[in-house]
Amino acid sequence: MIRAENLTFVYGKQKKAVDALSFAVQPGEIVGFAGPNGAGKTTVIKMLTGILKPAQGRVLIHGHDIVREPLVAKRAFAYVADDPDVLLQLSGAEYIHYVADIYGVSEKDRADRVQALTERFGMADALGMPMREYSHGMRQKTMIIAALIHNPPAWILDEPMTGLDPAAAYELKQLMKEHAANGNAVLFSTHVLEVAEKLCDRILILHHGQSVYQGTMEQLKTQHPQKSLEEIFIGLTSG
Amino acid sequence: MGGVGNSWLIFKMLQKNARVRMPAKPIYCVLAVLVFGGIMLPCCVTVGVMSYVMTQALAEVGSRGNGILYEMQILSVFSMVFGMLVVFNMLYFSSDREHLVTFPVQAHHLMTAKFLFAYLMESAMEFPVLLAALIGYFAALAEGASCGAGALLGQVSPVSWVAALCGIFLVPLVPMLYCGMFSVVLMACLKRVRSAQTFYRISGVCMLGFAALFLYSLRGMGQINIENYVEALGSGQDLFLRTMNVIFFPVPWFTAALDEVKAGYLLLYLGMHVALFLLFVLLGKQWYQQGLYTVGALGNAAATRGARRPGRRHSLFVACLLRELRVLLRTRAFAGNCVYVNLIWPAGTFALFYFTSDHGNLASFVGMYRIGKERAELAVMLALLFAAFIATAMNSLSSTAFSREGKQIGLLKYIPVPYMTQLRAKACASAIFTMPALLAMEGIAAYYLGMSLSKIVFYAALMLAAHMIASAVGMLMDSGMPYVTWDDEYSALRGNVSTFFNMAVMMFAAGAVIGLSLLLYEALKWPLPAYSLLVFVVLWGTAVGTVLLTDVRILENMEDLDCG
Repeated sequence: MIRAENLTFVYGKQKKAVDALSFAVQPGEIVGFAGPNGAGKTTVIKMLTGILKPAQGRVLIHGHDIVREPLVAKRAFAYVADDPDVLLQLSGAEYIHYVADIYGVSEKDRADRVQALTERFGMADALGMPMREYSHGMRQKTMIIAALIHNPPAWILDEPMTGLDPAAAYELKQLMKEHAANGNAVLFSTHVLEVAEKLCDRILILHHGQSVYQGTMEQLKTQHPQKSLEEIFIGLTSG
Repeated sequence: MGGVGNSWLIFKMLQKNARVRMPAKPIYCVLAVLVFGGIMLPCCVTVGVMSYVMTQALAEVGSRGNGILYEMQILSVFSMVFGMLVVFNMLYFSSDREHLVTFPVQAHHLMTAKFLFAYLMESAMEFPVLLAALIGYFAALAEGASCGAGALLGQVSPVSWVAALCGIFLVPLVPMLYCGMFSVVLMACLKRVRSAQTFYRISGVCMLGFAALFLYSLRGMGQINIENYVEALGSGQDLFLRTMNVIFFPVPWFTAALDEVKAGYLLLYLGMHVALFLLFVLLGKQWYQQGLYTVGALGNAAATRGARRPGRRHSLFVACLLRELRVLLRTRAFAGNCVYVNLIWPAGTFALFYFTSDHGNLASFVGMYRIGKERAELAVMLALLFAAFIATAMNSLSSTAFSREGKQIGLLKYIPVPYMTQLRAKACASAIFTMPALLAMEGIAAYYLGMSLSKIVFYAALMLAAHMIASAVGMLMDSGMPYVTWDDEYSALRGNVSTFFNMAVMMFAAGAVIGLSLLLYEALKWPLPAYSLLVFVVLWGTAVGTVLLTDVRILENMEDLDCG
């Protein structure tokens, strides 16, 4: 569903942010993307979503190359960026309907999905307000609702839990599980190892733009017996 | 949804997001009325009257349409010079870029939406001015035909009416399309440049060169004076007009359709706009996506090197000042619109004197100044004062002093630095970027006018007082209602009503100072040195008073800042 092949990206002339990274997220899978600050997580996500063009390698979303067939590929994923502070003068409802229009979501589908998602995230009463008056968490919830409005097969979420209250974080995790259970793919980046442990079928740990681990949490723990998750993570990403 | 539909959708969304919030305080209603009644209306009336007078004068030599043509070409030049940075930044550097490119929309459709948004935002104030110019033109026609406006309605051909209507919206479009095409081509040429610093330098130099080329084309304007302008325009030999008729080649077709009632020219005019727009879209289709990738991949090697330097300890004031200076210089939107914009004053003064000081009205003026004519000296003093007021308001350094903080405005409250120290740092940053440009402007004028050192120092002191007044008022306005919920730095500047109103207030202040100074000079009939001293004392007294009074209020506003 989401396939990265030999991805490399260089900022400026020297700084190699991502170095020959390959991975895949299969249908029905939730994959967590972990790594210290500056490891290249957001750069990889920006390549997956077509914001950046890989210097080498390619990205396939639902079988479509994001550079060669951008429109088809972009229709196949939902993206939540790490910064929800965009178009703040719009109301939450205006923003969601704008995204629904872009993806051509029918009126019935958008009404059903908006109702279901706003109820789950407790946003029904706030959608009429301009987003500038929202808290960070409310903006994040609005971005999630808008991103999911066209119900695509792949979800790509950059630090989606940041700023969410426990109830909203729980709902999002439930949604991710339901989406994967329906045969779809979810890829999300996170700093919180406990979230990755409980939610992910597999985890991908990035360090200096390279993959230092890809596999299940169980395998990771088996490879590093008698170490806590934190200790394993620090051991893999130090130096 | 189709491509055009998507462009329209994004355009509408950008427009909605650009809604300016008017603070719910009576003073802002007063200011809004002041802006409309005191600036927009007089501007429109002036342009309309100019159009009327030029059309009437040129009708006598059989070139009636050249007056409106001249005005349209001047407006085209202004659209291009002021639109360049706006269009370039809107297409490639606005913060919504990364958000919007993830949607399933063709890159050139996104580009089209952003361009149309920039065109409307940039030209909104120009449309009423163009309308006024055309009203002036039709009023002159009515006068010439010895009929009233009502009768003229029936006499003027529908071709002229349609041309006039189209011209209001299309005259600024060609310059903006040129800006768009230039931006796309420039980005395509810079695709191999990976360093942000090099990229900004090259693009900055290219754009300055572009602006300089246009300023250079204005050199012919100096040859026009009251005596010869009818002759020069009527004969079509005016250098400015000839140059602009080549660059903005559809505008003469517009005036031909308007004035000579030629439907063919109207069709040609409309068709050329469609063709230029399609060319822009075609260029975007070819290169816009690549340009977005280029921007995304820019690196910052110098910043990495700088991070390894050992840090030095600074006083609270210096630390705050350095923060202000670094934010202003390193944020592209602030650097362009608040810092480098000040170069307009010395550059404009140089262009004015270099191209025109040896002929025409300015040569006579320079001669009068050099032989010590009091009115010439007074005019120079007041012109420099006017520039100091307007330059300070125009660069928005003071009227965005608090809005620039954005979501981090809480920082002002939680850092253990007295508000007064922070306020002084902001005021000092404004002076650091404004005053050198004003002094350079004065230096250039001094060189051409043969100004004495004592006068240079005296005028500099007057400009400093004017700058202090404008800066204090700007900060007072911004501290009362800072606009901090902006998406990116460009919207921080565009959506900030303080900037707009500060400009309006300073235009009034400058006008009042100059008007009152002239009236008082005529009434008192004192020798100029004594009169200048009076102006100095009054202005500095006002400056000190304004700073002391506004300080108190700004500190109260800082205390009450809503950082929620």
